[in-house]
Amino acid sequence: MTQADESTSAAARRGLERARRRRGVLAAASATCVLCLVLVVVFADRARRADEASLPGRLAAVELLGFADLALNSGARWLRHPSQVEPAAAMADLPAALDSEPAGGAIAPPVQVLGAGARDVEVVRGPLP
Amino acid sequence: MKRHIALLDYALGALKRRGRRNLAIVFGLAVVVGSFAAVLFLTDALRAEFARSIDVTPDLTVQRVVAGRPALIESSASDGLRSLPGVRSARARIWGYLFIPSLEANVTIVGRREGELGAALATGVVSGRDIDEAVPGEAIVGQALAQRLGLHLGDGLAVPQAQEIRVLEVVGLFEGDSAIHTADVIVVSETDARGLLSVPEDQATDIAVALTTPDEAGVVANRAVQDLGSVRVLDKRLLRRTYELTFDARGGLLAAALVPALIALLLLAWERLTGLGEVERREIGVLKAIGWGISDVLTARMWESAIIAVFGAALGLVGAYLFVFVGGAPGLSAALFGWSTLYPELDLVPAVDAAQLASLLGAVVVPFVAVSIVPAFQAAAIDPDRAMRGLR
Repeated sequence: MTQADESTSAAARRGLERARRRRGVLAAASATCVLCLVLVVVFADRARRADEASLPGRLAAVELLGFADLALNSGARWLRHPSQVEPAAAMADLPAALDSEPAGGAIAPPVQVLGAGARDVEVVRGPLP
Repeated sequence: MKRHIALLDYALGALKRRGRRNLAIVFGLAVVVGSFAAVLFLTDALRAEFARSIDVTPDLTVQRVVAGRPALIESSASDGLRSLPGVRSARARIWGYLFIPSLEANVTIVGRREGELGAALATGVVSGRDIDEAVPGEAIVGQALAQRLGLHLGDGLAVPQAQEIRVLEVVGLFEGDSAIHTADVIVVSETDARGLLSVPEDQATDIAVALTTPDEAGVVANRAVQDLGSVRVLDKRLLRRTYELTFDARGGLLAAALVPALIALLLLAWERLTGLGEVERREIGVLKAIGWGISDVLTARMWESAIIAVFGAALGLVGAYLFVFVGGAPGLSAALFGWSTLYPELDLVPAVDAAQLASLLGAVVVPFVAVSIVPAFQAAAIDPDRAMRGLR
């Protein structure tokens, strides 16, 4: 075998070695990705199971209140219980329609409008007389 | 198989040679997939929570409508409704809102009778004890409200009325599990609720109707409208659909706002993949000169795109999950929920199914791989002689 042949085969070996290493890296990265996705599924399943345990309590609270609306809008009266106050609320969310609340707004609406005439509460430390 | 492994080797080498560019595309793809997935995760979790809860609410809710707006209804209307066939129970409810200026928020006042809290106390969702109707001013308070006001069991809350100040004593607290429904709620006796909300003795906010057969909701609703005149009857089954639409619309709007980001990413990918550099052209020229066919070059380039797409999408999905269910979706939740100051501490439960995930990946990853086909074909069709001589 000539020197040129030897250097060519050495280069080919190095090339093969590099390719093998890259395949190893790809396999490791793929395994990490799959593991992360599996972990997400496992955690999601665990969260669902934990939720099953607390569900009776939440349902008892909903049954007590009488409505299932989520407590996400305490600023606007007409949106705290859309199912009760504005059953067609979904229709107010058409694209380009004026939003009935400043959803996503960095600046809150003028609260004087929401609380016109309202008087403030005061905390009285217990025990009460 | 051997051919594909060899082409994969080449694709990996090419990915490494253009490492920074490919990392940027993986990152961009992860951000776009993650943004879409976060909207999907959040919307579905909220929709599922509502769907789980609505089963225990009244089948029908009857509201008086005056001038097209909900108004108080006569409590006696519940007697007429109770006598209708198919009606199991009809109950006049007292509830409403009280604005608290210092919180810049409305709290929901709910009037309940003694003993109705039995199930809530038994499940532990309420700590403390039941309200005693004989003692005026006893209240059970939602968690977010109690935290904002610094209220504990035994404390009092002085609520100004028209002529007097009514002091509510906190005898119970809703626990964190139920915060998504009870964060801003104060449950008091019906008498206190009437006083706080200025509801006259013979009137109520609405009437909750439970049916023996929920399928008869339409018939009973028609009878209620006939008998009571100007009323609006809310059917639980329709409300379920309406609420789903509300979240669909909000989630859809947010997702629509993200479409430009997807388009921008596809344009970026197109620009990056079409702009073959001198070195790449020469490389492809050499490969074709030593015997690579168009399909070989095409396959190698597709491997590159597929690896970028798969890793970008996986990174985006995992990131979105952590962002929504571990981090509580900061920023995004504000856009989806709307303005409020009494946000509950959300303990959202994942509710996305495989079909939705598949459609999400299809909407982002498939266009990404598709957009790389044309540049790949252009690269594969290079004339080797011209490419090696550096000619265009």
